[in-house]
Amino acid sequence: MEQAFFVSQVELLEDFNPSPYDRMYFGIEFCQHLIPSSRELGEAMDYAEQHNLKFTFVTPYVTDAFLEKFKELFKSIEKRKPDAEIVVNDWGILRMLNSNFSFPAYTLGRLMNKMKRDPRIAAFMDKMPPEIIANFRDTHLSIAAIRNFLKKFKINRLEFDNLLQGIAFNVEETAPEMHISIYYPFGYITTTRLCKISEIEKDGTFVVRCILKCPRTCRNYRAIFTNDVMKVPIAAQGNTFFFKNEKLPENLNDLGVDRLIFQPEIPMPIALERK
Amino acid sequence: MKIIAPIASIMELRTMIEYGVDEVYCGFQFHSDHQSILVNRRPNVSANLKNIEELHDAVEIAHSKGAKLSITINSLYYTKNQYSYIVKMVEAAITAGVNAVIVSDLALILFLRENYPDLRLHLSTTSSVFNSESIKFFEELGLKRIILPRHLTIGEILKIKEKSTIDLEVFIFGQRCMNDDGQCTWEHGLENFAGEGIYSGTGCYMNYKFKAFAKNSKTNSLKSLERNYTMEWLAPRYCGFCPLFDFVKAGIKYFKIPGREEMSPQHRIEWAKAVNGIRKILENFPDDRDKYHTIAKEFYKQFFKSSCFKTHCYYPAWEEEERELWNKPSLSPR
Repeated sequence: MEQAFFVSQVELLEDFNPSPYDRMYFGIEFCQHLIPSSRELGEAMDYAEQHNLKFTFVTPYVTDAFLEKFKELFKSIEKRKPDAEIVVNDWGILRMLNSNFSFPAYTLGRLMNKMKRDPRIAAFMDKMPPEIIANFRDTHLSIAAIRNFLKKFKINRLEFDNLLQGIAFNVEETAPEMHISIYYPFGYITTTRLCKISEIEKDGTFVVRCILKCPRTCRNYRAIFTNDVMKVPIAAQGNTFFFKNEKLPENLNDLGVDRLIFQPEIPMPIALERK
Repeated sequence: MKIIAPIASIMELRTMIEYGVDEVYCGFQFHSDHQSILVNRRPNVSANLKNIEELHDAVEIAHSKGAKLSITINSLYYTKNQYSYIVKMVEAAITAGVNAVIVSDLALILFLRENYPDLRLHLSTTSSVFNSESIKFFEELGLKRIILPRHLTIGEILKIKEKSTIDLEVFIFGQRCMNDDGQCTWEHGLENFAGEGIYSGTGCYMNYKFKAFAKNSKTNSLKSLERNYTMEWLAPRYCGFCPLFDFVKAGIKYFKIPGREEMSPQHRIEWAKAVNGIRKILENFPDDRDKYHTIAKEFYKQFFKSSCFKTHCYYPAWEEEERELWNKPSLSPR
C-alpha cells in the first residue's frame, strides 16, 4: 500500500515528518483563485526531492482564463519532473493535457467521482432499504465502458473520498484495471464559486455571495457547522464543506485500493507569515 | 431566442406554451419504486410527471403546439444495478417521442451513444462545464447542446461562446443554487427512503448552529470567535435580463428557467411570462443596448412590483470584466 500525504502549502510541512510516506500530493482542488504560483510549485517539488518523495500535482475545475495559467504550470512540471502525476478534476484540463503534454498517465480526482457524501446517508442507514444503501456505496467508475473511455485519455488511477456510509463496488469483468486511492480523514461534501465565507468579517453575517473579486478570506477563517440530524460536524473553509472520517474501510483490498492519501489539514491554504 | 421551462404537470405544460415557452423539460415517474427515485436529480413526486401515460400526453400536446419536450435523466452518476431500469425508461421515452434527453453521467452518455445513436442528448448543467476545452470534450462525444453552469460570469460565458460552435443553453431567470450543481453531493431525495426524522430537502437548506474560527497570525492557530452568526441562503428570484442582450448578440439561442422542484408551478409560470415579455422587448431593440437595459429594468419593476437590485443578478460581472465587455468594438457602451 502506497502512503501519500496532501498539502496545499509547503509551509505547513515545517513540523511534519514525511518519512512514513512515499508520495507528496500538492495543489488545490476546489478553487482556481488558490492555485499555487510557479514559485510555490517549485518549492513543493524541491521538498519532494529533498525528502525522496514521488510527486503528484492536484488541479481544480477551471474557467478559460485559468486553463492558460495551468498550461504554464504543466510546462514547468514537464521540464523538471516528466514522470510527475497530475490529478484532474475538470474534463477540459484532461483534454488539454492529452492534446498538449506527454505525461505518462493521469489520475481522475475525487471531484470527478460523483458519489454522494451527504452525511445524512450514514446517519439514516438503519432506515433505508438495502438496495438504496448499496447504491450509495457504489460508483459508476466500476462500469467497463467508462473505464475503457478513461484509458484512452491515459487515466490509470481513480480517487475516492472515505465515505461515511462506506464504499462497495464490483468492477465489471471486462473493465480494465485501474489503481484506486482513498483520501482521509477529510472528504468534501459540496463546493461552489459563491464563496460562503468571503464576507464573514463585515458585520457578523455569514453571507452567501459571489466572489468575483476573491478577498482570500478563506485563509483566515474556518467554521464548524452542527445539526442534530447530521450527526457529524461539518467544517467549512472558503467555498467548500468537508466531513471528517478517520476510520478507513475494512474492505480496502476488495476495493483494490493501493494508495492512501492522508490530509494533515483541510486541503485549503491558510494565511501564513512567510519567513 | 428560445425559452426553455420546467413542467411537472399537463396543466403547467399548457400554460407554459400559452406564455410562449418553446421547449419544456421534465422528469417522469416510470415506476413508484425506490430505483425510480434515484434516477432523477429532482426525485420528489411534485417535480415529476406522474407516469409514462402522462409523458405520452405531454409530448403529444407539446408537439401539437409546435413545442419540444426533453426529459431529464441527469443524476450525477448511476450504478450498474440501475441500468436495467434506465434502459426501460429510455425506451419508453423514445416511444413517447421525446425530443431529447438531458444527461450528466459520463458512463450513461457512453452507453446511450452506443446503444441509441440517434437519440439527441443535451448535457445537463450538472456536468460543470466551466471552460471551452470541456465543451470540446463533450462535443466530441456527440452531445448536441450544453447547458452551462449557473456560476459563470457574463464574460466567461461570452468567452466560451466565442470558442464554441455547439448550441449553448444558459439560465435566464429564477432560482440559483448556491452550490455548483455538478460538484455538490447532497442527496436531494433522502426523505423518500429514510422516512420521518430526516430533513426534507437538501443539506444546504438546513438550519445549523455554527462557530467561526479566526486564524491567530502569531501562532498560526485558529482561535474561536465569540460571535453569533446567521446564514443568508437563497433568494428565489435571480434575473439575467440585462446580459440577455449580449448573450443573444453573441449567438446563444437557448435560455432556461430552472426550478422543477423549487417554488410553486405558479412561480414558474410567472417567470416564463416575464421571460417571454423580455423577449418581446429585446425583439424591439435588437441593436440598442442602452435602450434595451432601460426598458428591461422598467419592465422588471412593473412586472414584479419592485425594482431590481444588483445582488440578485443571475450573472454578476467583474467591474473590470464589465468594462472590457462594454468597450468591445462589436458592442455599444453601456
